[in-house]
Amino acid sequence: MLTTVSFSLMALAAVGGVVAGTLGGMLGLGGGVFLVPLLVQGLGVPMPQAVAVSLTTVIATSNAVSGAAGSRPLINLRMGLMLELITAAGGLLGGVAATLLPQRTLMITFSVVMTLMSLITFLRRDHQNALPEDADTGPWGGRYTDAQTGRLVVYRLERMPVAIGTSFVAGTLSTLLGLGGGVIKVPVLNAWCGIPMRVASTTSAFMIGVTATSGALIYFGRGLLLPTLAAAAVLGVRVGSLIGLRLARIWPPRRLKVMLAIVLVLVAAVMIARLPQ
Amino acid sequence: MTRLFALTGLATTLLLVAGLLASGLWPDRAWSTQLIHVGLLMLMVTPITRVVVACIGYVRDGDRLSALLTAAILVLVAAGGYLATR
Repeated sequence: MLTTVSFSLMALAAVGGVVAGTLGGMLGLGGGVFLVPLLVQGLGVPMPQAVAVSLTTVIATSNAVSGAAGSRPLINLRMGLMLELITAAGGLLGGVAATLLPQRTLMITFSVVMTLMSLITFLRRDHQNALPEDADTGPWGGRYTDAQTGRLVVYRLERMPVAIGTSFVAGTLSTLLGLGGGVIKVPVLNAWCGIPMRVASTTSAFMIGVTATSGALIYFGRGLLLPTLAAAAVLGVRVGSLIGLRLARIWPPRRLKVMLAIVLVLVAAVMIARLPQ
Repeated sequence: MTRLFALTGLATTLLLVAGLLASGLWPDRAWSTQLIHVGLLMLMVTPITRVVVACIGYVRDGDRLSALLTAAILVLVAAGGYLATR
């Protein structure tokens, strides 16, 4: 295990934090899928310490997005919590399945699914999830004023079985592959379940922080969190999330979706590159 | 409450910056690392505090379904933490 952290390592972790924060602020992703390989394969940080830093940056992203004034009306807490419960149940199954399924097969399956999702997100980039202003939002929908257009956006959670199934699968894969669920939930909620991109990403950003907390506290309690490395990465996240939030506010949803499609392909590529032999 | 969370975020950042600077200037002093530890702990408990605050708000508003969901999430997070330390 690493005990001392050089200045250059801290600087690189901070840069990684900026990238993770930008992705989190813009698309509601934790960024762990990029940060963990950067720390482990790029900077030689042992896996448990890298995961500890990654979980801490996920929480930092979540806090930054949840605390931003423009984000609060976009967080659909009720829907997020409901889906989070199902994600947690999927996580339990993942814990069991981890001993039954070869990780290589899982990683290949995940990469194929990510590539397909990327394609679908890209093809549906012009699709708008907005209902008439007087429409019924149902128990899990909501309404907000879009900062870019100034228009009231009304939405409803549609295709509930898809949302539930995706959350369950996201939970399972999170446990099996050590990912946040945002990378799966955000594109599905947006493409199939009627949730506007801004709501899906902001709600995801809030929930990934809740999910990461217990794990981060455990790593912290076991002394696996390198304080200076984590601090540098968290400060990078603070900067990155400001950039991401700004881009999310000024970019039209179409551009955010194209960005998400690109990130999903990159995630698939990173996963293939990390395939165990 | 929103202001409190904003202040917590600011305090966390200041603690981390101060801790990093102190670690660079006085690497052998334990308190420099302790500053970072306090900052990181504040960071980690913030999401759960938000859920607790939301739960109290839902109970006050009489929104039973949302209160139940938030309470269930808190139980799950606590159970996950407990099981992982066993």
